[in-house]
Amino acid sequence: MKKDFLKYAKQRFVLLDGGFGTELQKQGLPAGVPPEALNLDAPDKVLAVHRAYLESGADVILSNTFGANRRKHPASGEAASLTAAGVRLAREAAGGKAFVALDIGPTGALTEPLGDLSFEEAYDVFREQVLAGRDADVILIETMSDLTELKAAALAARENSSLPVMCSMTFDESGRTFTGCSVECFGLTASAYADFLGINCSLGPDKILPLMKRLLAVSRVPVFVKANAGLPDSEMNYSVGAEGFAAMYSDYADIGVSVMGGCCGTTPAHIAAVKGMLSAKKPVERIIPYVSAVCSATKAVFIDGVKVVGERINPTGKKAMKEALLAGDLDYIAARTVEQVEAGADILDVNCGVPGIDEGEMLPRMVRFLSSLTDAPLQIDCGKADAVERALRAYTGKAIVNSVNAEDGSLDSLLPVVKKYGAAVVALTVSERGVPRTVEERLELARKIILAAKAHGIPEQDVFVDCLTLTAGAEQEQAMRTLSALTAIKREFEVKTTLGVSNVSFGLPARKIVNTSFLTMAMYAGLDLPILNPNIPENMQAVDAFNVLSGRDVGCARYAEKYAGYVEAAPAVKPTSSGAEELSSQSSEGELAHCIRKGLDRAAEITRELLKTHDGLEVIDDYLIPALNAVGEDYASGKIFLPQLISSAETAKKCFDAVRATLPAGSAEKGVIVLATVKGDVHDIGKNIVKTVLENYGYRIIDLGKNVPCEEVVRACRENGVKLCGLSALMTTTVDNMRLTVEALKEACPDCKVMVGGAVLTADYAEKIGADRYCRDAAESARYAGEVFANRGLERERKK
Amino acid sequence: MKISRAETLRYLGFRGQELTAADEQDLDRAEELCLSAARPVTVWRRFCLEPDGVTLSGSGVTFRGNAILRHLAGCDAAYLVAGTLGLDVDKLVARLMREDPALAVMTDAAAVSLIERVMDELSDEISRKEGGRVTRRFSCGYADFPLEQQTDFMRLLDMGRKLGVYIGADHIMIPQKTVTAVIGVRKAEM
Repeated sequence: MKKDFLKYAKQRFVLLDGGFGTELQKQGLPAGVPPEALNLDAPDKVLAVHRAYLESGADVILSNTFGANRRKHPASGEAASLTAAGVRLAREAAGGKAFVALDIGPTGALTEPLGDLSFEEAYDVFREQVLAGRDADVILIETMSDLTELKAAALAARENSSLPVMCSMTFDESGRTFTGCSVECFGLTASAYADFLGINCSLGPDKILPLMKRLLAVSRVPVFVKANAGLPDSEMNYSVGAEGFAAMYSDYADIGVSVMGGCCGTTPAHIAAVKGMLSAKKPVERIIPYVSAVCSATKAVFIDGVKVVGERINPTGKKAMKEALLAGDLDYIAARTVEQVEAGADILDVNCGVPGIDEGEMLPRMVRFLSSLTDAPLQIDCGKADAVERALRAYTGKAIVNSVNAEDGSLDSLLPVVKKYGAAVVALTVSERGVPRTVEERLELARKIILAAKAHGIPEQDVFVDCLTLTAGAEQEQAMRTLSALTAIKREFEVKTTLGVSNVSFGLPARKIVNTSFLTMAMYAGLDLPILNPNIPENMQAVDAFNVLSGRDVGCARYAEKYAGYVEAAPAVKPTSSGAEELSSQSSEGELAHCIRKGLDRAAEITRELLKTHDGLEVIDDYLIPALNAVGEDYASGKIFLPQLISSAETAKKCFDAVRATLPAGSAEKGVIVLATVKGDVHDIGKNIVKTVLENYGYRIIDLGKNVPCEEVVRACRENGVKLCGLSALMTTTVDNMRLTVEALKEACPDCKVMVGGAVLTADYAEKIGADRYCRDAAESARYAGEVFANRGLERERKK
Repeated sequence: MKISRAETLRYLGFRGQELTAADEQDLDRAEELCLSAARPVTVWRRFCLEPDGVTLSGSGVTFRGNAILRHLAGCDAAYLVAGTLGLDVDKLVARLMREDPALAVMTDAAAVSLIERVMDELSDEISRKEGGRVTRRFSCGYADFPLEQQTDFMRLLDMGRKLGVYIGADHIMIPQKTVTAVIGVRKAEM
C-alpha cells in the first residue's frame, strides 16, 4: 500500500506485530538456523506468520529481516537478497491492508574501540540492507545495545532512503544497555536521527514502563514500545499471557505512547488483545518536554544549574598541547583529559586549531580518542563546517558545537550540520561588524542567531549564548556589560548561556583573583556553562560555593562531602636541602638499581640528584640502562614476575622523564618503534605491556592501537622512517593478518625490522611469515630493540 | 564470589618469586577492582546428540573436527554453556593500562581466574544434574574444533541478547572475558 506512514501515525494508535522467531520455532524451525534464511528456503512459513499477525489486527507487518545483514551473512549479495525477499513476503502478506516495516537488527559485532566494527563498516552493512529493503513503508531499527551502531544504522537509513525511521534499544531493568548506554543518552542522541524512538525486548511491559517514562522525559519524537511477553523460564516459555500483556499496555497508552507491538514470546493473540484494549482508548497528546542536556554514549549532563566546561584541550597559547597535537602525542592529551574530569569538569571542550593540522582529519580522531578515555560529553571547538560535520559524525552522543556567530556565512554553513546531528550550539554574539559594545547589540545578535537556529529546527534549549568576555584591563566597562547581557538574554529567551571566563583578567597581575570574582558574578547573572580551567582549585571552589548559595546543592550535601577534610593551603615553604642530602651519592648506582628493581618512587629523586653531577646521557647509559637490563635478566631467569617487571619499567620511566627534562627535546630518545595489534584482534594487553617496557628503555613508541589495518602499519612505518615495528596477535585466526602485514611492510620498508609476539605464535611461525624476530615477552622485545638500535640512537646523539 | 589468588598468580607467570607486601596489596586491589566491575552471567542449553555423536538434535548444528568427536565419544547429550564478566571489565583493564600498567595486568589475570571460576561452578551444577556423567569443557579453537562455530553458540544460546556478547569478524568474542564450551553427557550404564 505505500501510504504515508507518518501521516497515518499522527492521530491514532498504531499496532506493530509481535514475536517472529518464537513463532517460527513453533513451526519447527531449528534453533540453529537463522530465521531470515527462510525468506528464500521456506517462504510459505514466513507468509503464514505474517498472515496470522495481519489477522490479529496489526497495522504494521515487520519483514523477516532482523538478522539479514552482511556481518551475519557474509557471502556476497546474500544479505541483500534475504532482505529484499523478506520485504517482498511482508508486502505480499500485508496485501494493502497494513504497512510494511523493514526490520533491521544489530550486526552482532561491537563497534570500536572495544570491538572490531568501525563506524564506517557498520554504516555500509546497514546501507546495504536499507537499499535492498527500499520497498518498505518504514524502517524499524531495533534491539540495539550499542549507541554507535544504532547511529550508524539510523544515518544509513536517513541518507539512503526517504522512509520514516523508528529506532529502538534494549535495556536492563536499571535502564542501561550492555554497553552502558542509558535511556537518557539514547533519547537525547537518537531524537536527531529518528521519527520514533522505542524500547524493545529483554523485559516485559511491567519492567519497561519506568524506563518508558524516562524516555518520554527526554525524547523529542513520539515513542513506541515492543516488550517481551515477560521473562522466559528455562524451557523458553514466556510468562505473560495475551490479556495480561494488553492490560499492562493500557498504562502505556495513558502516558502518551501511541505505537505498540510485541517482541520475544508475544503471539498473534497478544497483538489481538492489545488491539482490543486500544479500541476503547484515545491517544494522549504528548507535549515535547523542555530539556537542555548533552551526553556521551554513557553519560548525560543536564544543564539544570552550572555545569563546567573544561578548556584545557586547546593549543591556543599552550605550547605543550600544540606540540602534542603536532606530534600526535596522545598520552599527553589523555593526561589532560583525565585530570580535567577528575577536577570536576562536566563537559570537555576540544580544539585542535594549530597551523599545519588538518582539523577535518584531526577533530574526528580526537573525538574518538577522547570518547575512549572519558564519558564526559564533548564540545567541538571549531568553526569550519566540514571539520565539525566529520567530528559530529564520529561522536556518539549529543555534542556541543562551539561555535556559530551572527554572520550569515557561519549560520548557513553550520546550523544545518548542528541540526542533522542533533548537537547543541554555542551562539557567539559577534558579527561582521565586529565585537559588540553594548548590551543591546549583544541581545540583537543573540536574537538573530536564536531565530536562525529555530528556522533550522534547533530549539532554544539547544542554543548556548556566549555574549563574550572582554578584557577588563583594556575595556573596563565591558565586564559589566557582558554580565548585563547575560541577564537580559536569559530573561528574553529559554536558552542557556556560556562564557570563557579567564579572558577577563588578561594583562592583569594575579589573574586568578579577578577570574574567580568574575566567575561568581557571571553565575549570579545567569551563566550556565563557564568554560574554564578546572585544575585551578579556586575556579571549582567558586562553582561549588555558588551551588550552595543558589540553593542548587540541596542541603549543602555535595559541598559538605567535598570539603569535609579541607585544609587551607599552607604558604609555600622553600624546601631545604637536608632531605636530598640523605641520599648518599656514593651508592647512587646501587641504590638506583635497587629502587628501579623494587619499583620505588624514590628512584626519580635519586636520578635528579645524579643529574647534578652527571651528564643526562651518562645517567641513562651508566645507571638507568644497566638497572633495566638487570631487571630484564631477573625476569628472564624467573627471579621476578610480570607485574614486578612492569612496575620496574614504570619507575624507570619516571627516571627517564627526569633526565629528559634536562636535555634538548628528542636527544634522549633511543629510537622510534611502531607497535600494533593486527587487524581483527582486539586483545592488546600484551602489546601494551611491550609498549610500557620499551618506552621506559627510552624509545619513542608510536602506538597504533588494536585492530590495525595492514596499510596503517605500513604508512606509520614509512612516514616516520621507522627501523623497528612490533606486531602482536593473540588468536589463531588473526595471525594470518600478521603474515599479510609483515609481507606488506617488508615490501614497503625493507629496512624496517619486524618483531612479533602473541599467545599462539612460535619462533618457527614467526620465521615462516618473514618476521625478523619472535619475542616471547616484553623483556625479549627490549633486548631485540637494543640490538636493532645498537650504534644508532645514543651514539649518534653523542657525535652531535 | 571469590577469586583464587593462586590462579591469578599462575596467569601472571608466578613461579614462587618473592612477593612483597606491596605486591600483595596490589593483588588485593586488582581483585577488588575486578569483582566490582564484573557482572558474571551464564547461560546453558541441553541438547540430545544424534547418532553421529556431533549433531545437536533439533538445532541444525553439527560440530566439526576430530577433537570434538573424540571428546563426545560415548555421549548421548551435550550442554552448550557460555559465560561472561561483561564489558565493564574490558573498560576497566583498558583504563588501568593507561594509568597503572602493573595493576592492569594483575586485574586482567584476576578476571581470567574469575571467569574460570564462574564456568567451573556452572560445570559443577551441570555435573550434579547429570549424576557426574559429564566430560570436561571443550571450547572452539581447541585443536581442530573450528573457531567459526562460535557463531553457532551465539545463535543457539542467544548470547547477544542474554549475555551482551558480541562477535567480531574473526570470531573473537567481546567482552574479552567470555567463555563458551561444550560439556558432553555420557550415556547411562545399561
